[in-house]
Amino acid sequence: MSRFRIPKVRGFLPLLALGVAVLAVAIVVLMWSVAYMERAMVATALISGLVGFSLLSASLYILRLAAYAYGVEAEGGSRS
Amino acid sequence: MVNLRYALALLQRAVPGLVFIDIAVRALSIAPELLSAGPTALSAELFLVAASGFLAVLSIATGSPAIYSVTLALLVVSELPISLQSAAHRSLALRTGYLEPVELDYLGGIRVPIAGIAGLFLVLAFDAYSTAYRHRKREVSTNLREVLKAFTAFLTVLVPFVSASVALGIYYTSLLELLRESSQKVSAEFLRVLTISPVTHVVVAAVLLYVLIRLVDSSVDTLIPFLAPSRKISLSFLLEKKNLDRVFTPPLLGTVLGLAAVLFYPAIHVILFDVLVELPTLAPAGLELVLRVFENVASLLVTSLIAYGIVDRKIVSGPSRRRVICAVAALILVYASSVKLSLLRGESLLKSLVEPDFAGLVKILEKTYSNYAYYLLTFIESLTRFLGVAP
Repeated sequence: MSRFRIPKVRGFLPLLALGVAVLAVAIVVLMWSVAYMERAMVATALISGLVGFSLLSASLYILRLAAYAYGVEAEGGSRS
Repeated sequence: MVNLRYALALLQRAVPGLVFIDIAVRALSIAPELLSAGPTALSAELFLVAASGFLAVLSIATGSPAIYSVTLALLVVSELPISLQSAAHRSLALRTGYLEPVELDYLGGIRVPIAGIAGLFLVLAFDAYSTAYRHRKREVSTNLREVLKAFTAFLTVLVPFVSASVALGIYYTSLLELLRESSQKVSAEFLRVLTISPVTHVVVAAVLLYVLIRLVDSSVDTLIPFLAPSRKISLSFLLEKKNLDRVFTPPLLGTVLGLAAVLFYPAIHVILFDVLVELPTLAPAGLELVLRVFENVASLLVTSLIAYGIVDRKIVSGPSRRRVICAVAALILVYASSVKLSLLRGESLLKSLVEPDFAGLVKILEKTYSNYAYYLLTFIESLTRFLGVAP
């Protein structure tokens, strides 16, 4: 019996929160890319655009997982 | 009692008439120029406006959402030619060295056909409604409360989508516009060549558009399970192992890898065949040219093999022994070539081993890269001009 037990997190809410957080970071990075482009730092702007789009697609994937977890919960209820 | 089906069909055909407001505004805006300069000056715009008017009549006749959206697209595109012409003119002026003041002409310059777009949503809604009615798949309710509820649901889906697409559109145009403008501020010769070239603009625009379409597509895929949760589909998705154990692959990996191979190429070529191995030129007089060509082809083949080996998909996707070997080999090559450069400068062996001439290597590489980029861009640009892609 280990004393340090990680509390079991259940449900789709953590996934949803993670997805939204990554989405926010992605939007910030995408805005950075415009700002870099404004200062004529072309390569930096394009790289941060790539980073932003990667983060955006990652966040969409996390959100999709959250959506499926929500689907299992919403119809399944307590029986599993 | 009014036959609901006929009423729907009538509404679906009446709503596209909204686009005539936008067409009229557009026609009024080009009328003064048309009167003063004659029809030849605006032939592209005139043609596009006329075509969108014709399609608007067609969409009123058929009530088809597809034709209606093409009408709207044509109307928006009809605003473009003048700004595109000025863009081409500006890039020509930049290349010949004559700079002129820049005004943002197509960031705020395009009038969006608002009435027409509002009509598009109505047409789509009526179309879905009448299709459902025709196939009797769902019961069509005329209860006012139900209708209001459905309308609010429609708006809650619509508003985020419209605002997200407007935000993405603003992002897209501002990034491209700023890229186009940055060519005046950039001082490095290599970047200047890159930013002035219309090929870069076309490529960046195409890549961004592709990524945006992919994003919108996958966001729709994400939204549907939230709106209509289904335990069966969700379980079948979640129980599939390959859906969960997902190795992260950045978007456009193939394109990026190809570009990376192109980027590695000159460095490898210079280090291997210009610095480390100086190809001997002790051929008999008659065969010199042939041998030179043979050498060049051989070095080209070896270098491209190495470059494509480095950026292999397997190496990028995860840790492997090959990756470590590649990294160490690259470090050894850089070190050895700098040591050789420093030896060539006349330093002693010990000193050149301790203090290799990295700066000299960087200088050579920089020169090679800017030459290489210039030739590559000139080649691609002339090719695309020849094919008629770039202005």
